[in-house]
Amino acid sequence: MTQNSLSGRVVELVDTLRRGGMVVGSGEALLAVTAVEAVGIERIGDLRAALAATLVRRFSDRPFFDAAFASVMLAPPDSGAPEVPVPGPRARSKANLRLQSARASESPPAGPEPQAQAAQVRAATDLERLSFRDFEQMTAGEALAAGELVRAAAGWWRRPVRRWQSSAVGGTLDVRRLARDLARRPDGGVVHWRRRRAVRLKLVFLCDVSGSMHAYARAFLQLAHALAARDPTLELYAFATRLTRLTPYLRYPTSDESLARMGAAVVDWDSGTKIGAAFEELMRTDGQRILGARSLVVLLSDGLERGDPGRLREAAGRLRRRCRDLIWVNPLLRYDQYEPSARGAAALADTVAAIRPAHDPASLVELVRSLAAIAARSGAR
Amino acid sequence: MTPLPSTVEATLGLLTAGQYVATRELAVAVFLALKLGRPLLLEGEAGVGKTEIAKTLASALGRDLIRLQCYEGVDAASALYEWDYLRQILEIRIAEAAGERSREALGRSVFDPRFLLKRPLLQALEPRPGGPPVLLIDEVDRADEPFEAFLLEVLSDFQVTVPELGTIRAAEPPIVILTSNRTRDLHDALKRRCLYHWVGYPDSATEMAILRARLPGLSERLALQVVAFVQRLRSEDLQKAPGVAESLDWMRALTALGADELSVPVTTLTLGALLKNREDIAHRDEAGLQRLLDESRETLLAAG
Repeated sequence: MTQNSLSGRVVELVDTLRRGGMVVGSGEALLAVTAVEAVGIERIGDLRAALAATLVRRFSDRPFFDAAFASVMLAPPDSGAPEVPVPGPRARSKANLRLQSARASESPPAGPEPQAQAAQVRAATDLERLSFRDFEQMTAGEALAAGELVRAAAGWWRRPVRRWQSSAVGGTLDVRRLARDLARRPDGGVVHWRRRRAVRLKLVFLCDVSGSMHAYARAFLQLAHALAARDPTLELYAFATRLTRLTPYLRYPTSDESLARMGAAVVDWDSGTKIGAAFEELMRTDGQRILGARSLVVLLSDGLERGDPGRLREAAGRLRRRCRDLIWVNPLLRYDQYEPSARGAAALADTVAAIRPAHDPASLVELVRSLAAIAARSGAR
Repeated sequence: MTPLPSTVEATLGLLTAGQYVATRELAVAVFLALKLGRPLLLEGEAGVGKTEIAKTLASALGRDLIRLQCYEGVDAASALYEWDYLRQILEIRIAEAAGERSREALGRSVFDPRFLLKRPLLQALEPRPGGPPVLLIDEVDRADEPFEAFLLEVLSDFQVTVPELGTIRAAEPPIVILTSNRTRDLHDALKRRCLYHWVGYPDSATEMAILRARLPGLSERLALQVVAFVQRLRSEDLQKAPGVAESLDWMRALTALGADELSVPVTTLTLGALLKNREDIAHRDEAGLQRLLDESRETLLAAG
């Protein structure tokens, strides 16, 4: 392999990585070429390590990078369709799936035409009427229009920042400002005080996508998409029988494209629910990164647990202790006589800090308001 | 001043000489960071030796190590510089007592470098006799996002502006190592400035080599058992799997107790050195430990 064709391969690798959803800037691509020159091509392992150090920015992207590296850099020259390496353990085969779709799709799936969408948005009064309409009873057109309402709900979310702010009523002496004042006017200044503003909360959304939840899950995912635009730290997961992290798909500008990509990523739509197992998986894989005293975990589920209720109780308890608040959003609350009496639901109800309804757009607005209220309370400590 | 290594082999040799057992991949990342003058971001679970890399580099290259430990709420004042306000106020009072009334003279005397408290980032930009220092920015994931943005600025230009004094620029940029335990995702803009390496748990042979390098004179037999047991334990469903630091601690604890072989009683007594979580410990009762011990012993036998 000559230096020249090597640069070509690096460019091809970068291209494959980008199509697989990794963010690689041209600066990194240049850096990668420089790094390859510095390391040389005598050892494949060194070459891979050098490219990984310059192109990979996320631990979870590494299996995909390895698959892409093997497919692009190790393929014989001028071979038409590069072979995909033999699938190994689960992460590997996932990476291979991603690689296949990256190499197959040249352009992202097209979203619905904007005009069709605009036609669905109705007059304000219609929207008002819609806000108390159960998601499950909406027609497809109404559901599209209700998306507007859900997006509006996100407007209630204010993400407090943690900064010093000057304070009229006391706090800590603002010595810095005092000294600055004194240097300017040695004959005396006003005493300044300052105090911490607010504590930041991190939202973690868990969405049950089992068969019984279909219409509600869609609205909840729309809400997550709208909130993520205001708060880029929001984390989103979907689960039925297994857990899928959906946070990366929140970055698409329209909720339709975002939801379409999520739909492709989740493999267990419409199956049964194992909430306990999902909690365990969440804590094991990402717990350290996303849970903590400032995380507000919001679970959308009807609580119809298929797994062992004892296991759910134990896992929910552990999750509850690892976050600030665990809030259960339950669309079944639309029935006045609903009681969480099934053993799984009862276990959840005993553990969570609050249960909130989520069956119509109005209840989602209420939900975001209550989250904002919790955020405001945490700031006022 | 030791020159920077010019090949991956030399880098590996440098780390090994500093008692750090590195994988070849890590050596490539370190080599590139030195060669291309980029900060190196090391991510990984707690206790896998991320901080040690910076320490080893500093001592192997004969450079000073400057450490900035990040924490929730760390800000420019504690990372870069701060004026010594109290002494400034005192200076103003002294000037007043001496009858000094000229504003300009007062401003000059108050914002004198004497009153500048230099924090780690500013220290790292100053020239040093041994060459540019190793700057370790530890646990950067604990800092707030505004601080991350601020770091971005310092790490791209290696210059800092103090409004009262002017711009301070590093003649030669320091060697920068950032570590993160991944308690949250760092911003992509910061990651883009850095080379990235994930430090994973070592395999048996590497972990054995680490124990040998760090604890000279250990009981070879016990160390093999310890490594096999820890490796087996990591594959269990744990809230916090033991890192290399824990293996070392446990090995020290066992040696201190005079154990020459792993058994259920001695493991139960010392499990606190390995597992730091109540649930993790509660789930390993005697039968469970016996099973783990047996399985790890089988692995050892199979490996010869």
